[in-house]
Amino acid sequence: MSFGRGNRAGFALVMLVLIVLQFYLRPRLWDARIAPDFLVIALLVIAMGSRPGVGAIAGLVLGLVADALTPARVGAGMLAHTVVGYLASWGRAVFFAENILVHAGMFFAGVWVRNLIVVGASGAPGGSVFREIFVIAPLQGLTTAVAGMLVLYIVREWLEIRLDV
Amino acid sequence: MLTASDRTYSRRDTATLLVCVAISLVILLLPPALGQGIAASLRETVLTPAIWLQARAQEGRTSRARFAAVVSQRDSTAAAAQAVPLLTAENRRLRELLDLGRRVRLRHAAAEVLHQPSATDDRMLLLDVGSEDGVRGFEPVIAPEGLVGVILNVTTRTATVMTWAHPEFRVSAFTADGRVFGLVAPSTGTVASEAALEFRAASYRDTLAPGTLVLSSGLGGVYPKGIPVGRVEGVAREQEGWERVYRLLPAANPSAVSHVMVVLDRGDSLSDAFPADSILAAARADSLARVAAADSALRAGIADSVRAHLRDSLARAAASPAPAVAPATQRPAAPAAAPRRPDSAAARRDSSAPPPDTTP
Repeated sequence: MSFGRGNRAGFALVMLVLIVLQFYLRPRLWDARIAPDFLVIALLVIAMGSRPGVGAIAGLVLGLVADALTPARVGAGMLAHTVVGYLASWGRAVFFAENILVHAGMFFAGVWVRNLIVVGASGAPGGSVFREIFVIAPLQGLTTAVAGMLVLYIVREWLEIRLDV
Repeated sequence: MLTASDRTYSRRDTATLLVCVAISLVILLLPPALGQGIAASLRETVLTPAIWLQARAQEGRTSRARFAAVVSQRDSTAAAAQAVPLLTAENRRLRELLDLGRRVRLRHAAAEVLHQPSATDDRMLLLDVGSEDGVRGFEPVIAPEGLVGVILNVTTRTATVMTWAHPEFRVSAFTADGRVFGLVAPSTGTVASEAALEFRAASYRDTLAPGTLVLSSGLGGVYPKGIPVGRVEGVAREQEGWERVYRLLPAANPSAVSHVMVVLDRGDSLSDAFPADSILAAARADSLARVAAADSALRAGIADSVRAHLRDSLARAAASPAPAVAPATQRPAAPAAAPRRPDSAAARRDSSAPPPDTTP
């Protein structure tokens, strides 16, 4: 998957919608800790259509945004999103995943790894790390995977994403 | 196998990753104040739209919560407001009952009516007082408005009341002016919810105006005298030209009463307990005084008239020549034919009959 001239406008629109969803819809949903993370979805959509280096840069930028807007330690989100962006782009290039369940697994794993790195890098106490890794991160990964699949299904034509069920 | 271009890209990607990780680590390892400063400057500049969006979302969420709280408060207020008229009505009824209790000089017991949701609820009532409160059978039950019924059955803690709506209810009654006596009974052929009363055995020549108050007469020994039973609404029927049956609007509604009073003593009268009757009693006393005053004036007028007549007669007798008066022993017998004026003073003196009535 790569973004040609034709679908760059659609890509920008999708990113804009995801950012709006992240900052306008997500606070209105249920418990924000397990609500789907649309920034991670945006990062993975970018990473799936670009090289690992671009994914890393996108992760750095989105991580900076996340750090600026959340009370976690500044820099932890940047590091986590950078790694996730790079790995998502690299993994997709390696596995050639076009299956929708593989995409869902990528969303789930992206959220889980991101949370793991954020918690580890921000120096959270042991109890909260355990709860974050084994309770909150999986739940948030699940909701993000569902939302990510919906997003991919809706925008597959614009972004020329091939999805095999 | 990777081509040279792929390897270039791969090295470049790796380098990019390393640079990004290095930047992240540098920022991560900065003093927290400096990191927060960077985050704050971002929030103040490029992330302002995101902050604005988040603020609107939070506002919407809290607005929903506030709206829910306002709706809850409104519902609570509405529920409380619905209870206010009921409480007000109950308060008014209890105050009326307290007033009635002060006015009733006979021994009595206040009771609460335990209503049951049945069609015949207003015919028989259950009270929360019984024999341990001094209640016995056939004691009258009254409300501030008037007569409700009579105790029919008593247990230790409850009592059953036969209300005036019961087909077997009867009470001797009379009109408030004391002119017409009769018997009050529930009207026949009406359903319980539309029960009314009839004032029976009123003679045909007596006509009662609508609105006339009918009270218990005290005859029969069950109901004390002076309890309002109802007001005349109109003629229900006439029976063969000798009896009129009047339809009464009952004074008390058994379906609506919540608190009543059981009169425990069989006294003479409860006229003082009901304001309307008291006013009528006052009016009756006033009327009697007026009648007495008029009678006195009439008598005085009659006496004046008689005295004037006597003076006139005496004056005329003195003006005419007086006959020689012989000693009684020598008095000849009066001629039998001599006529004597009936209005002459002598005739009056001799007559033991009362003077003729000169009153018009």
